[in-house]
Amino acid sequence: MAVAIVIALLVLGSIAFHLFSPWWLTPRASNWGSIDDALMVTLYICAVAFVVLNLFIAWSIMRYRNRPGHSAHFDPENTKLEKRLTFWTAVGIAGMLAPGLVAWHEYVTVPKDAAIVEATGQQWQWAFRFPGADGVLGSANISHITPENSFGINPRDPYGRDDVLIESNELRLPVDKPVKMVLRSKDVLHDFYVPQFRAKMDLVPGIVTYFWMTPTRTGTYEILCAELCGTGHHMMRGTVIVANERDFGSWLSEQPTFGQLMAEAETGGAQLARAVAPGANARGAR
Amino acid sequence: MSILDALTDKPWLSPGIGARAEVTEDVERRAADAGVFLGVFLGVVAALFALLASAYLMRMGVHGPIGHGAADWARLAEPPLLWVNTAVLVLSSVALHAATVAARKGDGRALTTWFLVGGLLAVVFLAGQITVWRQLDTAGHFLALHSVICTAVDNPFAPPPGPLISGNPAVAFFYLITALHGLHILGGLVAWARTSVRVLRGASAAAIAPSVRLCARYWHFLLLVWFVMFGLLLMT
Amino acid sequence: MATTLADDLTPLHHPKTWIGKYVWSLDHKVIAIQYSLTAIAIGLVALVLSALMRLQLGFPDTFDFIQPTQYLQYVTMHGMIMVVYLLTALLLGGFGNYLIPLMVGARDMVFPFVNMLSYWVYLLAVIVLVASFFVPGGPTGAGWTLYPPQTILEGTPGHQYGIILMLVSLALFIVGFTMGGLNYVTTVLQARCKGMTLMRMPCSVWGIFVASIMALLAFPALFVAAIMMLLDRIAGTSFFMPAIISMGKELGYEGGSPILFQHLFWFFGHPEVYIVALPAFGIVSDLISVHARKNIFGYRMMVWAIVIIGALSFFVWAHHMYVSGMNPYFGYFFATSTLIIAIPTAIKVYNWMLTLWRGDIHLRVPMLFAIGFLFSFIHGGLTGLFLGNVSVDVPLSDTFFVVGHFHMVMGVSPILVIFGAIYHWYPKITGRMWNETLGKIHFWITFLGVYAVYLPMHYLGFLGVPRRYYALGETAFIPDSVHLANQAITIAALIVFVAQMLFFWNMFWSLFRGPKADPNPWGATTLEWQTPETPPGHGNWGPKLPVVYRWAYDYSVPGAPRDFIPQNEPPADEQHRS
Repeated sequence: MAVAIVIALLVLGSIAFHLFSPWWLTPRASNWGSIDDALMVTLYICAVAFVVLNLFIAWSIMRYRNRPGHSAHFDPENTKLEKRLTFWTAVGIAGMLAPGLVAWHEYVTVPKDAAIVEATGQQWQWAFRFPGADGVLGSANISHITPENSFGINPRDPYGRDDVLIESNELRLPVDKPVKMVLRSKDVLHDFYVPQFRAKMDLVPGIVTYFWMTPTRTGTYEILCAELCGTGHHMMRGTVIVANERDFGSWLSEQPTFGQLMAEAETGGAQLARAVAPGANARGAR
Repeated sequence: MSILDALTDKPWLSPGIGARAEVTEDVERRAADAGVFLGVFLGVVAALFALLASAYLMRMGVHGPIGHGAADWARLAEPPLLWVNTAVLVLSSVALHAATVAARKGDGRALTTWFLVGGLLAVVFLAGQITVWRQLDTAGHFLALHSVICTAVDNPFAPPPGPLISGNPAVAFFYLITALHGLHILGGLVAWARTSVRVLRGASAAAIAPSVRLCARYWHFLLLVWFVMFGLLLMT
Repeated sequence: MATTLADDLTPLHHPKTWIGKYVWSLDHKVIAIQYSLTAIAIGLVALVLSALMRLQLGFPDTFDFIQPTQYLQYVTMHGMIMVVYLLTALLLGGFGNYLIPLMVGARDMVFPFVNMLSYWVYLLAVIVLVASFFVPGGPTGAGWTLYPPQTILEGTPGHQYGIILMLVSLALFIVGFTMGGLNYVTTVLQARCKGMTLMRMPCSVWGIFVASIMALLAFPALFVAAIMMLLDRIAGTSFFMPAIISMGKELGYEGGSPILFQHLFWFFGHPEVYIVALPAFGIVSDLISVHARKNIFGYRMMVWAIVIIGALSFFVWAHHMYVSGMNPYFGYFFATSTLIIAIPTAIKVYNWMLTLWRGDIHLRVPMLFAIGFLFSFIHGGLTGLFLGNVSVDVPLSDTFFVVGHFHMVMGVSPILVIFGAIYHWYPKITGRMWNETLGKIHFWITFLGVYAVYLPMHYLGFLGVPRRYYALGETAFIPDSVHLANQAITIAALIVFVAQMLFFWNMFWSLFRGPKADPNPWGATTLEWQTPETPPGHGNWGPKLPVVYRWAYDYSVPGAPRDFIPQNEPPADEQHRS
């Protein structure tokens, strides 16, 4: 008896919690409204199921609780009812799956005109790279990494010379321009996660992963790591500032390119030669 | 009664002893129980090796276009001795099969001979596999487990000091697959040894026939696993 | 393995000494209790770890002894112990061992010696696991998913010895479980008594049976992954390890695939969810049916649903990996298969509800827990649809929504069933009755407490609070109210924690002081309640095996003198023959 009332109250309480709790999706700052929509469709369908099923349970307990003179029905099965329930469940499932898949299709289809930005993770910091004037990122590999070339850009790749390097945790992006975020990790799994953008993707050492989005609101947002990456996981923070085209352009032009950095390093001269020579690093030991 | 009939039966409609009227007491059922037990176990072994094979293919890079696997896979030239070992394992299986045939005919002497020969051939197979390992080792595909363990014990804080099984994943998989297969053969040999003791103590053909049949079934299965794994190693 | 089969070819032998009876016992009931007590003991360790975790989250900067290293170790060991060493071991090793032979009318498992060995290997696995707390560097803190590369690299707690012991322990657990699992499956297939057709088996047996088959096929994936990772750690192979620069040093790995590990892990990991859930589904079906005095509604559909869920669960694993960097086109397939599996699951929920409907519901403690399960499972199942629905998973993955979801669906739900089941079968196992009032208090605090713990977590997840964070620190999008919520959650969790002591006290006290129990206190039809002795003796059935004449759910049959007819009661027209 009490349990029936409590279940009904828990249903009401959950609805009230949903309506009045201060915690909900952060205001969206990207194009991923379709993800939010799929989420809301899923939420509403699930909420209806949650309320109906639990109230039915509460009502059944109340109505059919044991009391003198009451006895149960013998009721082995009811194929018609079960089929009907299966059908309506399938409809509900299809109803939420459809927008989910549509949004996913959008998510995995990168627009042709998306600008490429690379994020590199290592324990426990971020670094970023823009492709520079040619619009193409130079090839990069762990094996090219030296103290001067922390991104591991292939020094012999002509596409890499004009790459703009951001060796800090602060990234800037232009507003309203689609961006393909290309992700690399030097050590372990990380995950590029900005709650306001909704999108996220793991950084996997050894392979290059990606996702795309269009920032739609200027402002400053935090980048968090959303894949456990060791004791500093919770401190692996970055900042992304979405700025208008002009501010972004002037900021980008102030950043060093790979060619400039290598030229600076070349004052020593020999260093570059060493980096260029194949097998100059620890791999040579093998 | 087929399994489908059994599963669509409406059990509340027909009280009574029903379809499962012939049930033997525990003791008489033992051999059949062991057969089912072994059958399910072979399913587990099949799952193990199937997963190993799919890991092998994935690591090799058949999924390369979608970002799995890598270019560091260097084909391993399998030592020719493997062919000899395979032949030995086939003969071992054949011998155990002959033993089951002898058991069915009640021919105690033939059973003893074939059963012992079958197991001994499996021992030869294992010895051959170890020889293959040694050949690979001298060919530069080293397996330095000894020094690995020493290093790990001395200084576990250090990352592994370079590849101690050869850096080529094809070689590492070769060791892993042959080791797991060998361990399963070894397990079979334990069962074989126990049955052999009973055979040598003069147990009657009828008494040990069930054990011999189970051993043979296990042997055939491991031979099949070996064919698949060997084929995989050869093709890649 | 086959060696021990030979030992089992001798008929049941009765132990003479105390040690033979209670320590090196071959009796499935004793082994079940050994399994259960070991699982609960290690589960208590995991419970303490969760309390420590909650203290850190609720009151950061308060407890000096909890540093990021310790926190991650608590997270990892809590998860691993709860999922594998508690839930799997208790539901299959504990309930499976106790219930299967009794419910199908067998004297014991078909190979009691292998069954005993299974327990001792499990115990060894637990000891190795516990040992990892005492080695330099402590236990592993890689998260229960043990994702490489970080699992075996510097920067992760326990990368020295802890991870090695963890992997060895898992391999041992799998070997031990395989021995048990083979026994459960063979017993169900072979040792059913006369008249016990497949469709007369109680749902509990079906759930445990299908879960055992699944576990036998899924654990090899974890076994392979554990061995390969062990080789990566100690032998320098590169199965899972790509070229890496860790902390400025280049390591000798090359070309390995971290995602390969994730595939192997989740090929085990997702069926594992159902390995825990299916026995709970089965058991709760029986609890609801017995205490509602009504046959389980749609028994055939319930059985089919168990089988279908079991089969489908091998085709959904990559829904844990939507944002892992695997081929994104897999997302379509796995989202669809994941949501399809919701249909048979929903049918099970409907049939539980329809069993209550037009029943005669006795709200005893086991039934309260069963109803609690329904609520928590509906909640946890529905939130699972968010995470399965691929694009909706993108913002929610690795947030507290995930934590809330899986705790509701595979933490709270099976645990409520386990409590219900312990209250339900305790009179049979011990021959004594527990204290009703204490049981009810335990239920109410646990049920309401866990909802207070996990409901807010879903909303923190919507907000975007990431999981596995030692501390949230200053983060602009996280308002102060989140810290308040974390404190409230911690307090609720601690209350639930303390309430569990009521349960242990109740069980312990009743063991000695509880009133003597009736052999069949709930008026249940299934065979375990019809044993000649309570608790059942060695061999379960006295000189003669039972014979089954009807299905397991003849409750409130019209025209019958009582509201239940035991399975071994012959129909009127056969009475004179037996």
